[in-house]
This record gives sequence, structure tokens and C-alpha cells, in this order.
Amino acid sequence: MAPGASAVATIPVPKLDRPGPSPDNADKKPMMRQFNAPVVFNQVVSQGWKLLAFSWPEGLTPPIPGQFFTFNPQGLQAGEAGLLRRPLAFAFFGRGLAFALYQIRGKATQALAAFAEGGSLDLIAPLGNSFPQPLADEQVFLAGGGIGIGPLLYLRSSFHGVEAAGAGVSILPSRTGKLFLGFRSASQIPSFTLAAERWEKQNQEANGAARHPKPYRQPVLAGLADLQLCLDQAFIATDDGSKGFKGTVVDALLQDSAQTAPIATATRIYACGPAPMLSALDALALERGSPAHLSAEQWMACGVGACQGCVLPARAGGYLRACADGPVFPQGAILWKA
Amino acid sequence: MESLNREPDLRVRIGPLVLPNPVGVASGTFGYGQEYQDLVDIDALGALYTKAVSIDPKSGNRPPRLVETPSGLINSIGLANPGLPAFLDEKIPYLQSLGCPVVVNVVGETESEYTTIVEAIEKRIGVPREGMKGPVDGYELNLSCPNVEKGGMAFGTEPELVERITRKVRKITRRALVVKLSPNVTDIAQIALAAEAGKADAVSCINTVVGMAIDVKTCKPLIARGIGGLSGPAIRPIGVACVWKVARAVRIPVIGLGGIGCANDALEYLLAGASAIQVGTAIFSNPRAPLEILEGVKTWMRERGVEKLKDIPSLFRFPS
Ligand SMILES: Cc1cc2nc3c(=O)[nH]c(=O)nc-3n(C[C@H](O)[C@H](O)[C@H](O)COP(=O)(O)OP(=O)(O)OC[C@H]3O[C@@H](n4cnc5c(N)ncnc54)[C@H](O)[C@@H]3O)c2cc1C
Ligand SMILES: Cc1cc2nc3c(=O)[nH]c(=O)nc-3n(C[C@H](O)[C@H](O)[C@H](O)COP(=O)(O)O)c2cc1C
Ligand code: FES
Repeated sequence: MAPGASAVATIPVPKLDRPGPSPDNADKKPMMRQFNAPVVFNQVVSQGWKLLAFSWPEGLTPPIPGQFFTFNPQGLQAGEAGLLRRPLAFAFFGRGLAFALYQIRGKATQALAAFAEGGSLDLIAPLGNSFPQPLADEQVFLAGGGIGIGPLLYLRSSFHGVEAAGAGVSILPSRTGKLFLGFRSASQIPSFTLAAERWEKQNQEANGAARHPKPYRQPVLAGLADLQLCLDQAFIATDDGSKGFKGTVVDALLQDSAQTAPIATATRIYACGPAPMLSALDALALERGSPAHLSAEQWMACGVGACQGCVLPARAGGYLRACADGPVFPQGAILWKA
Repeated sequence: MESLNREPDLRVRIGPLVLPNPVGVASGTFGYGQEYQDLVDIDALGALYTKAVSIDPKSGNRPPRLVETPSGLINSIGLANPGLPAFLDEKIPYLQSLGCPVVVNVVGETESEYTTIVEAIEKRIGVPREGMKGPVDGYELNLSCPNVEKGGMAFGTEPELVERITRKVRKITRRALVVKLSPNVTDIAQIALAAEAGKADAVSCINTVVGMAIDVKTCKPLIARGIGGLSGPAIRPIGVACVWKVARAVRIPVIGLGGIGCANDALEYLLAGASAIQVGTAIFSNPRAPLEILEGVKTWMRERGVEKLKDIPSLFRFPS
């Protein structure tokens, strides 16, 4: 390394065209906390995917789109991959409940999937930075691939003012954005409506005609309805063409923007998904001169910026931490593994 | 066995430094403290051992740097740290604000780098005043990291080198001087004796154990650099055995670490002869672990009527 070069790259401060969604976000990081969260909902929403909802502690700053939390895979012993906490992104927040969409992949997500509603989960939240808000006159593209759709659903919901009061998000007037979601096939696409119906049925069977509705019933159902609303407005792409556009979410976005975006309109891109997708969108944004905000994944140990374990190679040299410098990085910050 | 109805005496003396209690947080797992300030009552810790400080900033190794293995974690961070000048300017003011003792973990690529770093810190913070907590209360020489080509472990495996570096650093500081030992050696007691001969106030052991994990799908190692350092419960028996061997060989205090996650784990180390302990990897899964361990040790002492922490090793029932 060149003498004097700063090896531990500091994140090139993204020019915030507007302070982030939360007033806390602008200058100082909101407090994080370790807490036991009552799990109020943990149900299948599509093949291999589940949606988790838990009650947010009083007095803790609500999460904003792009942020994540870590959970302790309780019930797993250290010898069974239970040593490290696992990160998940927020997929929605409203009426005192936080939601996350997750894919059952290995031991820890299996343990989470088996976690019973009513139990309480050891969490650390809110963690990481967030998506900055777009400018009022920009055309906004949001792209989510696979299980990366969660944070985009949350961002999209913050635009059109879903649950302004509960979300702790300052809502911009009539902001819209085109949401593109990519799935392997139609069977992966979540249905929050069906999940709600199944859950209601389960509760009725358990409670005897819902005469003692759970205190969380209304907030859960309202959150599911908001999520479904966002999803219904999305352009869907599937790899196998079983629903919507056949191809990747990047192809879908390219095709649409070629058709609809007048050349003069300023655009802004938000994305979360597999590295090749982020790499393609980073290049696209550079080509068009659009700002872009890309949310990355990396293995984590501490999740709070202390261990330097979760780094990604920075374009400017050195590395950036996914957990504390990110997970959201501006266009050009990261050398993506294509 | 009489139970105790007053608070047990938990203080630990490390040379000139008195730790308020035996439970510290291990180097590299707690950053420079600030990262965990929302989650942990740092002032209540027995000591904070910082992430390693080197002269130049280090960006560290290529990712992926972490992989979880059965009961363990392999890391290959590569001592990523902001370097000495940034440590002095940006970390010292925060460390000054802490109520717990701070021990700076020092790493060099050559012998003289160790002395340069300690000298620069001493110059910045001045001579220690009796009874005053400074921004830095001691040094832990990392002669034992498996994750860099030069320095670190190479030094830690040669007794003469360990003695020489320790002696040189000893000449420039009156603060507590700890030498951190690697388990990746033939006879750890020899290295500990060398540190003692060099006038270290204590030794800490163990650093991580060299480890490797391979993905049989891709036929590649799971961390980019191939081998890394194994930590966590998997290495606890190795650490306990090292502490036991070292404590029998030297007269200076031994600080035990490696896979401590609960009070019983800490007690194993204390019974094996450790004067204090550090918690590392367990913090990742539960940042509250160090203070929970402290409570657990206190309860054990109270229940057994043990008045002083330093009496614990004498309770070990094993002919030596
Ligand atoms: C900031 C961030 C946000 C995320 N958000 C979501 C989300 O909203 N929904 C979702 O389904 N998944 C999300 N993930 C991925 C999720 O953390 C992994 O799927 C989960 O850790 C897998 O654990 P496992 O034990 O079930 O699987 P394993 O079999 O252990 O691992 C499967 C894969 O998950 C990844 N992984 C494993 N351990 C870790 C770790 N400690 N840290 C990070 N990644 C790991 C690796 O790529 C691994 O190959 C996110 C990851 C990050 C970094
Ligand atoms: C991510 C990580 C980073 C580490 N960095 C350092 C370091 O900079 N200096 C050092 O002396 N030890 C370092 N260590 C080693 C620990 O301080 C400790 O010796 C080892 O992890 C064993 O303890 P544990 O099992 O409680 O983690 C590191 C360990 C981990 C897991
Ligand atoms: S996970 Fe520890 S620094 Fe990011």
C-alpha cells in the first residue's frame, strides 16, 4: 500500500440530497438495543419463505428502510451453527410491529422458522445505515431480487405513505416509484393475503371463534395488507417466465425504462439482491449518471462494526463494512463480485 | 462450606494495574469500545482489550473473512485497524471517557514497531499518575496472531525474540505489560517463561488456533485466505490446558481466554490458575455475556464462601 494511504476505507459520504427518512438519521446514528421481542407472527408466505413480525420496544427509534437486525438462533447449540447471530432486513414497520421476510436456508433460518408465535426472540436492532430518500422530481426505480425484496417493499411503502403515524417515517407528498421484483419462479412470490387468511383460521381454531382476539391481530393484519398493496403494484419478473416478465429483474427494468423514461428525467435507483444483480445496476447507474443505492450482503459476526469481519472490497481501495458502513452503498463504492 | 454474606473481593492485580474485576473483553471482538457502547455497560467491565494497533493502517485480508464451524468461528481479519496516528487522534479521546481499565493490543511487523507504537502512546498520554485511570492503562503485545504473514505469530514462537521484545517495551512504559501467547507452539510454557524473563507483568493465553474449513461443493476454502484463526467453545479445552501449564511455570499472573461463554467456562480457567479472563467470540452472540459471566462468578464465590478471587486456584483439586 502507498505510504500514508488510508487503508481502512471510510465510506465516501453519499451526498444526501435530502436527509434520510428519519430525523435521527441525518447527523447521529440512532441507538441500537438488545431486547427480547415478542414474536406475534411467523408464517409461510411462499415456497420456502416466511414472514416474521415482532413487537417493537417502547422508546427505541423505529427502523427505517435499508436497516437490519440480528437474531440469536435460540434453541441451536453452538455445535449446530448456533454460535453467531444472523442478520435480516426490515421488510415493513407499522403500528408498533416490525416485519422481516426470510428464506429458510440453513440451520439458523430453520430454527427461526420453527420459532413459535408468542415466544420472544433475542434481537439487536436497529442496525446499519439506510436508503436516502429521493428528490421530489426524480423518477425512482426500485429493484429487488429473490429474498432481497424485503427492504425494497419497506422503502416503497414509505413512499406512498402507508401508515404514516406508525412507521416513524416522514412521508413525502405523493412520492411514487416503480418497483421491480425478480423471483426464480411464480411459486416464490409471496402472498400476504393468503398468509393472513390462514393465520386467521388458525387463530379461530385455537381461540374458539376469535372471541379473544390477540392484541396484535389488527396491527398484523393491517401490516400484511400494506405489504400486499406494495407487492400488487410491483412489476414481476421470473427466471422461468412462470409469471410476468421472463428474465432477470435488471432486464425488466431496462426494458421498462427504455420505453417510459423520457431522456431528460433524472432517475434514481435502489436495489437489494444477489451480487451479480447489484453489479449490473451499479454499471447501469454509472452509464446513465443516476444516483444508485445498493444494499449488500456479507457474512457477519458482530453486526455492529467492531470485528471487521463483514467487509466488501471498496472501489477506492481497502474495504468497507457491510454492517456499519452499509448495508446500503452508493453507486461506485463497492467492487461487486459479478 | 460457609456461604458468604458480603460481596466477594474481585480485584486482580496486573503489575501496577488493579482490575476491578476479572472479566475483560478480548482484543478484536470489541473494537475500540465505541461500537458496543449502546449495548454494554462498558464501565462495569474488568478491562477492555482493544483491537490491535499497528503503525500503518491495515486494510486486512480479502473477504470472506469469517466462517462458523462446529462450536467455533474461523476468522481471517488480518489485523485490520486504522493505524497508530488515527488511534492516537480518534480513539484515545473516547477511551479516556471510559470508566474501566483499557489495555491496548499492539502488533508489529518488526521488533522496533512494537516499541515505536508504545513510545508514541506513552508520549501522547504522559506518565501514569498513582490511582488515576488514563485513557490507556496497559499494553497487550500481540506476538501471536495467525493471520498475517509477517510479525505476529513468527515472534510468538521464538522464546529469545519474545524475551527481547518484552524487555525493550518494558523499558519504555511503567504501565501494565501483558504478553499474549499463541497455542500454536510446541511448548507454550517456554514462551511464557521468556515473557516473564523480559519483565512482563502478565501473560494472556490463548490467541486463536490455526484452522481451516473447506466447501466440498465448490472445492474451495470457506475463507479467502485459506487458513484462519479458530476461536469459540471449540478451543476452550485447549485454552484451559494452556493456562494450567503456563500457570505452573510462571509466577506472574495468567489471563485466560478462549471459548468462554458462561460463568462455568470462566471458572474452569480460574481453577486452572488464571487470575483474570477475557471473553471474545461469545460477545458476538450475546453482548451481555461478559457482565453475565461476572455475576455468575460472584454467585459461585458467594455460595461457596470464597472471599477473594485469588483464592480460586487453590480450590482446584488436582495433585500437581
Ligand atoms: C444485511 C443483511 C440483511 C439480510 N437480510 C435478509 C432478509 O431480509 N431475508 C433473508 O432471508 N436473508 C437475509 N440475509 C441473509 C441471511 O442472514 C442468511 O440467509 C442467514 O444468515 C442464513 O443462515 P442459516 O444458518 O439459515 O444458513 P447457513 O447454511 O448458515 O448459510 C446460508 C448462507 O447464508 C449466509 N450466511 C450464513 N451465516 C451468515 C452470517 N452470520 N451473516 C451473514 N450471512 C450469513 C451465507 O451466504 C451462507 O452461504 C441478510 C444478510 C445480511 C448481511
Ligand atoms: C474477529 C476476531 C478478531 C481478533 N482480533 C485480534 C487482535 O486484533 N489481536 C489479538 O491479540 N487477538 C485477536 N483475536 C483473538 C481473540 O482476542 C482471542 O484470543 C481468541 O478469539 C480466543 O478467545 P474467544 O474464543 O473467547 O474468542 C481476534 C479474534 C476474533 C474472533
Ligand atoms: S459484522 Fe463485525 S464489523 Fe460487520
